[in-house]
Amino acid sequence: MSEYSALPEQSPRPEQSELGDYQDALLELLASGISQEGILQTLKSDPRFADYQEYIKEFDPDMVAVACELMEKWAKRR
Amino acid sequence: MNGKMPKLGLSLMPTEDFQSATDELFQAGRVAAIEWSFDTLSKGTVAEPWCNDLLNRFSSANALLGHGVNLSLLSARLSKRQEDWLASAREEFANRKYVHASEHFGFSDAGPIAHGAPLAVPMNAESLCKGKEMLKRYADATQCPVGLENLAFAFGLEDVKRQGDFIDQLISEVDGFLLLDLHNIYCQLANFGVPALELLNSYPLSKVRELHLSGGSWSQSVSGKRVAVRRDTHDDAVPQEVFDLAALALKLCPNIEFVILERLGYTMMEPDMQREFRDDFGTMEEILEFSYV
Repeated sequence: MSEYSALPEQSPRPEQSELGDYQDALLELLASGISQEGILQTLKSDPRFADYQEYIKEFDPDMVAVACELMEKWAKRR
Repeated sequence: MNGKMPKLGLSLMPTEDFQSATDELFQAGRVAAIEWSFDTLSKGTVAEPWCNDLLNRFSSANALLGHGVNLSLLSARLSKRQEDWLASAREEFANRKYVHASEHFGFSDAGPIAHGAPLAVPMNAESLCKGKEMLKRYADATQCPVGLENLAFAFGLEDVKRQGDFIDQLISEVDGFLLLDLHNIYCQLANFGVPALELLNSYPLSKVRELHLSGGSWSQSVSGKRVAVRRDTHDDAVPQEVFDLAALALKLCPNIEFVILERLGYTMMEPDMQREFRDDFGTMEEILEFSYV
């Protein structure tokens, strides 16, 4: 509808994005096939996740395992 | 109960088991709406004629709902795949009339992955900004009201507690609606032990325009922290707990227009499973009739 169509004229997605870097690294890690314990370890130690440590420390191991299964079942690589 | 009774419908699956399971419901005129995940057919494939007939019939009756699966609303970077997705959605919504369009909360397109099941995002200012931009793009492509479905998956309790308010902030940008998926709520209740009313009340309930009901499954808890993990797999009958949530949601949400029953294609190959699906539909009919007398 017309009131929703006021889109930015230029691309709104700058190449530099902290969130984008986090998302790229997270999906790469979850799709890597390493164990849930290994993923949790990497999330805590890999500098690519440094900006999101407050968020990551709340991650539940069961849910990380679910995320790995979801990646295995549904993820399509580029 | 005030208000008009919502239309009860089905999520359309282009599969033989769905066709067998639902034929008598359609023949009896009991299905008042259908929802179509317009982005799930493989590129270059077309739906079977019986499926297209249903889509056209419900579109003409102003009872066809669009439900996107693969946009990846909260990806931080806009990919070429997402741009193509939006272009395809624009074409689909120009060719066929839909009442509204929904998508899932979360992201699935990043790094090496083009798309998949949506995952939770850190709910910060950057996520909010990117999500609002993408919702505007979705609304622009579909030219109809757009909404977001709450996500079953959560990395942790904070994701559960904050999702309702964050979705409210996102949909406010486009005067959008909430698609409240009750099995997704049930997953979070089962996995995180949050009281049902507390969780429901964390969502903008006056903005709920559509409910989803489905079944799911249990998987092993690797941590031993819980007996099992509830999963939103859409491959089984609707549990009683979800029907209970439906009755509660009908009381709490004054603006529901549609209630949609979901089950994945190829998960009801046996006649007793197909009967079970029709029984679930009948149970929801009874709940609606009881709620709106």
